[in-house]
This record gives sequence, C-alpha cells and structure tokens, in this order.
Amino acid sequence: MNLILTMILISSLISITLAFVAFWLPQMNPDMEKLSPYECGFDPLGSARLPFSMRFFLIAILFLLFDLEIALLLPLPWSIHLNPLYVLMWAFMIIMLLTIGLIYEWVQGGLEWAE
Amino acid sequence: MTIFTLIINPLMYIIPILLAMAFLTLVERKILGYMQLRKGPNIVGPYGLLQPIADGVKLFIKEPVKPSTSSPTLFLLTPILALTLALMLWVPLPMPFALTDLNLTILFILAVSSLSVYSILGSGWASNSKYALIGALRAVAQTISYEVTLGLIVLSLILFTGAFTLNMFNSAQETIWLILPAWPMAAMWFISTLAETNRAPFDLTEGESELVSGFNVEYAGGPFALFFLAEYTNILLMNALSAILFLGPSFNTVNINLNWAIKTTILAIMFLWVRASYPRFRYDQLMHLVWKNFLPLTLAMIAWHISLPISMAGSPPQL
Amino acid sequence: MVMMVVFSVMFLISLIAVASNPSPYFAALGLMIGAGVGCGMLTQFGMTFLSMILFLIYLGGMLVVFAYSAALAAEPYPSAWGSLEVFSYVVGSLMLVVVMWMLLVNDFGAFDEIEGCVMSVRRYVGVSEMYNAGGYMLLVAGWVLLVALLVVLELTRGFGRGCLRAV
Repeated sequence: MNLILTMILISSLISITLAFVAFWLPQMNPDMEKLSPYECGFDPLGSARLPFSMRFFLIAILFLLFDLEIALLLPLPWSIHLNPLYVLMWAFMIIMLLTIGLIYEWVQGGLEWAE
Repeated sequence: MTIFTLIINPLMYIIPILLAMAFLTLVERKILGYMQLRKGPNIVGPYGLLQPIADGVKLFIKEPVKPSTSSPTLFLLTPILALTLALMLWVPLPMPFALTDLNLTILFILAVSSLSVYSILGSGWASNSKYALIGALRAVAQTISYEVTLGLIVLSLILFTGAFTLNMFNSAQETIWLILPAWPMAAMWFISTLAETNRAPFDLTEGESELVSGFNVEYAGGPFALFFLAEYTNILLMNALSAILFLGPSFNTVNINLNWAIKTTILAIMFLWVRASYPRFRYDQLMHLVWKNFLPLTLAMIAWHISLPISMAGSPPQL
Repeated sequence: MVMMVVFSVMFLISLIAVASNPSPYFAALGLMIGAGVGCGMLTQFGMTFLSMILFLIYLGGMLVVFAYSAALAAEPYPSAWGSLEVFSYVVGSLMLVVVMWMLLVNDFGAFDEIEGCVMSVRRYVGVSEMYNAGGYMLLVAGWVLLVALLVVLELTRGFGRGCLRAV
C-alpha cells in the first residue's frame, strides 16, 4: 500500500460518507411532481436523449487528435539532450503536420459555430 | 507508525483543503458584494464568518432529489467521483514536507484532471433531462477544448525547466519568475484555467437563461453540495498550480507555505474580480477563442520553446 | 503482490462489465475502470511514464470522446447490468472465466512485481530515443493523425452545419 492508493481510498471514503449523510440526514417525502425531470413546470416532452450533433462530435475528434499530438511531444524534455538537430527536425515536423491539419479544418469551416 | 503516514497524514491534508474551500465561498460572496456596493453575508457569526458552515448544514439537511427517470447508480456515483478527483489532485503538490514526491507530477495532475470530464458527462447523462444533458455536452466540449491548450502550455514550460516534477519549477525560478520570460503563456494559462474550472466569464454551462443550471440541474441538497465542493476545490488547486508554475514560490525555506498561500490567494481573488467584472461569453466566441486564437499561438510558442534552449545552448539539467 | 492481485481482479471485473453487452454508455464506464486499473498494474511494474501516458491518452482522451459520442447518440432505454439480458451475459462470462482459471492457471508467477519500483533516469532514455533513432516512427504517427483529421472532415462534410443562429 502506498500513499497514493490510501489517498484514493480516503478521499473516496469521505465523498461516499458525505453522500450517505446527505441521504440519511434530511426528511424525505418525494412525490410525483418533485421527481419528474425539470422542464419549466411542464410534463417532459419527448425523449431527453437528444439527436446527434455533428458540431460537438467534430470538436471531440479535434480534441482527440491534438491530445495525441501532445502525447507525441511529451518525451521532448528528455530527448532535447540527444542530437539537437534531429530533435528539432522531428519536433517541427510533428508540429507542422498538426498545424496543416488545423489550417485545413479552419479553411473547410469546421471551426465555424455561427453562420 | 504506518497508521500515521497512511491515514492521519492524508486526513490532516484533506481537512484544511476543505476548510479553505469553504472560506473561499465566503470570500467570493463578500468580494462580489462589496464590488456591487453591498455588504454580502454578515449576519451569521462575526462578519459572516460562520456563513459557509451554515450553508453546508443547510445543503446537507435539504431533501436530495432522485428523479424517477434517472439512472440511479450513475446519478449518485458522479458527484462522489467529482469530489474524489478534486481531492486526489492535491496529492502530488510540492511542499517542504510533501505528502508524496512523484517524478511525473505534472502528468499525474493532467491525467487526473482530465478524468473530471466523466463526472460532468455522467451526471448530465444520468439525470435524463434535456437541460442537464445539453449543459453537460456544452461543459464537456468546453473543458476538453481548453485541456489541449493547457497541455501545450505546460509542456512548453517544462521545456524550460527540464522535468515533469513541480520541484524543478522551484529551482528553475530561483533567479526569475517564469511569468516574465513566458508572459504570453501565463496570460493564456490564466484564461484557460478560468475556462477549465467553468468560472465566469466562461460559465456557459450554467447559463441561467438557457440551461437553468447546466449539468447539475437535477441535483439538490447533498449531491449538489458534492459538486459544489469539487468545483471550488478545483479552483483553489488551479490557482495553487499557477502560482507554482509562474510565480515561483521557493520550496526550500520554512515560510514557503506563507509565500505560496499569499500568491494563491491573490490569484483566487483575481478569479473573483474577473467574475465581478466581465459579462459571459457567447458559445461561439468561447470556441473561437480556444481553437482560433489560443491553439495556433500555443503551437507557435511550443516551437519557440523547443528551439530556444537548443539555440542558446541552455538546455535545462536532465532529471 | 497483493496490489497486483487486487488490480487484476478489478481488471477482470471491468472486462466482464464491458463484454456483457450493456448500453454503450455503461460499457464506457466499464472500459474506464479497466483502463485505470491497467495503468495501476503498469505502475506496479515500474513503468510510470508509460502508464501515465496511457492514462492521459486512453482514459482522458479516447474514452472521453467515446462516452461523449455515446451521450450524443440517442438511446431511449439504456440497459445496465441489472437487466436480465445483460445479467445473463455477466453470468456466462463469469463461468467462462472460472473454467479457464481451472484449466490454465496453476501459479501466481505472473504477479511478481519489480522490487521497490526505483525510478531512474535510464527509464526515460528509451522514450527520448523516439526523437532520435525512432524519428520515422514519429513521422508516421503524425502523418496518421493528419490523415485521420482529413478523413473525419470528409466524412462529416455537409452534415449539421449551423447549429447556432447567424450573428
């Protein structure tokens, strides 16, 4: 057992205790209206699982690509001590490839939110 | 002895964090009050000092709502996850007598903070309400977008300091605070932390008029309090982190805690000041800011930060 | 050793949770636990950098996008592990695991971890070689990212533009 694991255990125990207290302490008298989904006083209309939004999906994909790029760049602080010329060349190549991707997406209008 | 290191130490660490967070809420209400020429909370206790405790008690004796259409387990699990992650983030922070001393501190913080997306997404989805789901989707899109710039900014700072430990930032900033040589990064970092913690002016997730309260609209009482605790703990953590990254509190003296705490407090007060001063962004402006301004800038800055140590023959020591 | 056993059991549980065919959203939850525990196992073997990267990329990147897309896609009646169909899958795969255990596993040798987990500088030299000798691999990785971006953009061309009002 190391400290990080005990810290995970202790912090989750604290949160679980708080959640437990929150359900044990107050008086509960639920009724139909209180438990229905919040929709400005109306009965809920239609399904709450909304149709697919391509805009948000594109943002998620773009995030994934740039997150992976960060992962590729992460060894840089160590590899900077190797052959500097190579390191510069490869690092710039990665950055340029991703910049080209960003420019392409920008030009194609993937980043436009309002038209 | 193990019981001290393994149980008492973390507890002695967590309790002051929760206390600090409680008083941050009071400070926020006071400062917002005085900025709008009113007093803020001043009834409960002297100068309203007991207000956070009263708030906490109120939240925990209010009736929690479990909507009949929600997925019950996930609905309860996500607030717990949020608070757990918010507390876990504090583990690797450096101190004179640190709790842990990890080699890859910054990677740990980035990894754990990227998990907090799940609590937002899970709560919004599990509530099974339109407002909650749309709010969660908007919050997640915002958080993940700003995560990219946060990662790139941190990486370019690491290229200056040489290792992923926060202790290295201490030795790197002995002569000059990093906010001076890397001020564009500092500005972008501060704005990105505002967006990452969903603070005003980036609090679109809880845009009152459209999404009522965002992803946590179905939560009431205790579970909502857990989200609230997690949010303010994250704000404090982000400010503590920015203080370490840019304002160079030295870790080898005894008064480090005072030094660091003052810087953190100043940054936290700047968060509140920003909230009092600026109107909320529009969603497309928010996305344009990160994808069209910050991302190209950080990409250019990282190229600069790679080439500068090499061209000046000043690469940092390897650790 | 103890931690490795605990992690492995949790890993197995999460795999069963995914394999038992719940709704994509709950499957993502199972995958998330599995990935986190897997990173814990890697850390126990002393591979901290690898496990952190895996955590950051797989758990903080890919699974987020997966869960996000699962939340975007409509599904009126999600089925968790409580429902009968999914639960029968759980029981089935549990039985499969038990049978495989009886047949194949006879010692715990695989659970040995590196003593003390001393993290040295040498551990990171391998990663940093990616920018020296492994540069072509890096180039391929960057190229794949670019191609993926182009493919996604081409696939989604013309769908759902303009979800906000004009400014």
